Amino acid sequence: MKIAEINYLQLASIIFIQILGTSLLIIPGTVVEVAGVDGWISQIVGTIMALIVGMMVFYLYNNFPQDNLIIIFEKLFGKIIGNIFGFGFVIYCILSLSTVIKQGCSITGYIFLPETSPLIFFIVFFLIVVYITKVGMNALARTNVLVMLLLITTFLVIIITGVPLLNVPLKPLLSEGLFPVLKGSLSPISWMGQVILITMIFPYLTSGNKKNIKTTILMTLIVVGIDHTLITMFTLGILGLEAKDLLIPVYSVAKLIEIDLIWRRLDVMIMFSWVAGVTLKMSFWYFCTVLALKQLLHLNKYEPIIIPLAFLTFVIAYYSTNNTVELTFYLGKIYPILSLFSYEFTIPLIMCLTLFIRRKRISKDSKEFTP
Amino acid sequence: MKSLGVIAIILVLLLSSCTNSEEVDKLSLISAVGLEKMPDNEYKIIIQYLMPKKDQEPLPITKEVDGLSIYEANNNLNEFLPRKPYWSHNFVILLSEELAKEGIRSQLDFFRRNPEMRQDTLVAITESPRKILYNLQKQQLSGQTLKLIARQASARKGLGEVSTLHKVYQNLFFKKPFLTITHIFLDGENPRIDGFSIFDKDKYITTIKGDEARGLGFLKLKNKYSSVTMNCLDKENRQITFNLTNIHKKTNAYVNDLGIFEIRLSLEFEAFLAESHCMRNISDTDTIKKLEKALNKKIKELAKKTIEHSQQNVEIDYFGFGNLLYLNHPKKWKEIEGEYETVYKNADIKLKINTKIVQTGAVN
Amino acid sequence: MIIFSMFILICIIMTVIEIRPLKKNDKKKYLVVNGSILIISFIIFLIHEIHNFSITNLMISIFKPFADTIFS
Repeated sequence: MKIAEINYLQLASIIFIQILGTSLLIIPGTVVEVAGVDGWISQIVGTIMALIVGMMVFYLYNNFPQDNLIIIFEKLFGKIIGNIFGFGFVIYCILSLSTVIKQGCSITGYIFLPETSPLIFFIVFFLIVVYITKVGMNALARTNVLVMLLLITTFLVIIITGVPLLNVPLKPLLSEGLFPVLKGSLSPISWMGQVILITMIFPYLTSGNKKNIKTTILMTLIVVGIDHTLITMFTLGILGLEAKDLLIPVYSVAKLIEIDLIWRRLDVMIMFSWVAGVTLKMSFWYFCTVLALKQLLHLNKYEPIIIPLAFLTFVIAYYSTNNTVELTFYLGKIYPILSLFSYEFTIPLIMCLTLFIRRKRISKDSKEFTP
Repeated sequence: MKSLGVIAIILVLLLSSCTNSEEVDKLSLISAVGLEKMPDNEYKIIIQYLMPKKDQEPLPITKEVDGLSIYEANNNLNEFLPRKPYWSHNFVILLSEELAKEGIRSQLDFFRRNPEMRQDTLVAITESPRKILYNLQKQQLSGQTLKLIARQASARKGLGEVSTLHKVYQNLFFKKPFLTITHIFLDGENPRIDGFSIFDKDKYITTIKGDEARGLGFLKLKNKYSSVTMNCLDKENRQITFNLTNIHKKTNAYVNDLGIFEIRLSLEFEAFLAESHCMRNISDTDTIKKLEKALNKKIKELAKKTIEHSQQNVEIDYFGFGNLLYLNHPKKWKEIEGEYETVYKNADIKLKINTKIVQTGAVN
Repeated sequence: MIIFSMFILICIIMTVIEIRPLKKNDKKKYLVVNGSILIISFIIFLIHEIHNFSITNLMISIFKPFADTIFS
């Protein structure tokens, strides 16, 4: 079967939606809660750390442009350990995906449709995700470009129309020292570290020359970092530390914007970009999960396992947290630790070190990626 | 298989309907709400809702209910309301002075927690919300009128910022809150905005009116326009009025080596002559200079009066100088945080006011 | 509960439709994989119904000491 091709814009849009799809709404809240007024500095620190993850991803691509994460595991660590890492990755994916689904459904339900049964959202998202995964990577990539434009527009509109509302100075700088800032940066790193997921789609980047891929990955991360920093600055500048008190501060900011009669009720735009972004983020995560499982079990096609696996993930998601307090605690404080000590930082680091040390002795198996 | 899918999609699109829809004619749109305290810890909420009439302005109707919490009272509303109360279009929250003395943060929680609620609702303090809302009903005015009055008073009269729910909470989250909320009182039959209520953190202290409220308007400077009337240079019993626009504000707060809290304020205004009863010709440049000086003095006088009131009478910093100190010198703030009341009482506040007369109107 | 059972029924039917046209050798493999995945999800569902246990709660209880030391 011919491998679908992904160009630079599509790659950039995948990384962009991957991170910003959910973080645009949630990240200012989680960061401000820990770092206070210095939240925007945390975002800058987080971006710098995420660039390191981006460099690691590129280092892997540079050495294995034809393989994806599961095959790289096997080539680096041998069959047994590689498979253990592989299955661990699938579990990690399912867990992360279930958090994304839970966020998507509970926030959509909480803000926009408070009286609808949450099960409805789960079923609707389930159907969409299954459909998108079935259609394949190519369509997903192209849709990402469209939704990226939507997200950028929303972001710009909120930033530009928010300027007249800015009235709280972002002072005092670093009054509590550097420590809260570093603590606050854990959450952005864990979000932006999700760029690791594109190791799953290396074989699709057939048209790339390596230098361009590198600039694409790093530039997208920088743009996302700037977005995070700006949106945190604006939330702090408009709401002040009131942002600590709110569940979704960005949504409150959007509700406050009122410029004459034309720019009102921008929360509708937020809803648009939230639902679209979350759907695509889920789909991409799910695509990677299915692909990884398919490779690990040596199946010929991934289509037949889409529905059962989706069912498993949605069941885990549906029964994950009982209320929004648990969810925000999990997202802000547990998930960063969980992910940074596993597949977002530690394991890529181990992989890069192993690669560096045994560069010459990597097995040249003829194992190939098949879509 | 494919055609089946297409048919399914068409059916979903055509045969769908809403299960728990909310039609406009099934809602009672709440336009104003007043909160009062009852003896045994109960709340009395007075709501004004709008009853739509055909080809007419909607009719405001005032009702009152009790409840242990505001949400409970809200549910009790349905004992006599035929429709579901809809809060999203609420314009005003009126709090009675008695209630505000217990701290407004807990009372306003309901309005913040409900995701339907808009955060630009006007929050106002008044002696008796009940009287005001019944008076509005009598005159067939909705809560929106109060909000518009507050907005006008802020823009034209120089009575500071409109205290919306968002602004109130933003202020409460400052290191040293300096909350001031619009005060409404009943002048005969008409609700009227006459000043600010000042707060210690979130507890109501007192209301300042008249000149003192004007002085606060000058010092807070969130308002664009305000006017000042003073005596003529030559004759004491005749007046001259200027309209002022603030163009520049610079504040600086620090604690000096002796432990005295020093505040430096410099304000710049552009004035234009709105009305003059004086006899003297004002096209003379010297006269303009003299008028500017007199104007500086007058504004300073007004501002000083408010500062004196704040330092001597109530001993509460409602200008936000403490917060300013925290923003610029967080370490110094930590030193004096515990005894801020006494430090502020002895603070040295210096004002520098610079007014320029830029227009004298169409008459020479 | 009713919606849930409907949901799982639809999933099984859709999976069967998906697997049916495959070759015999593949069919067995997919049947094992899909069956085990569905059984796992059903077990998770049952555990949640009986003990009110979820994986996220497990994660929270495991990592909470770490989180408290880091973010305190």
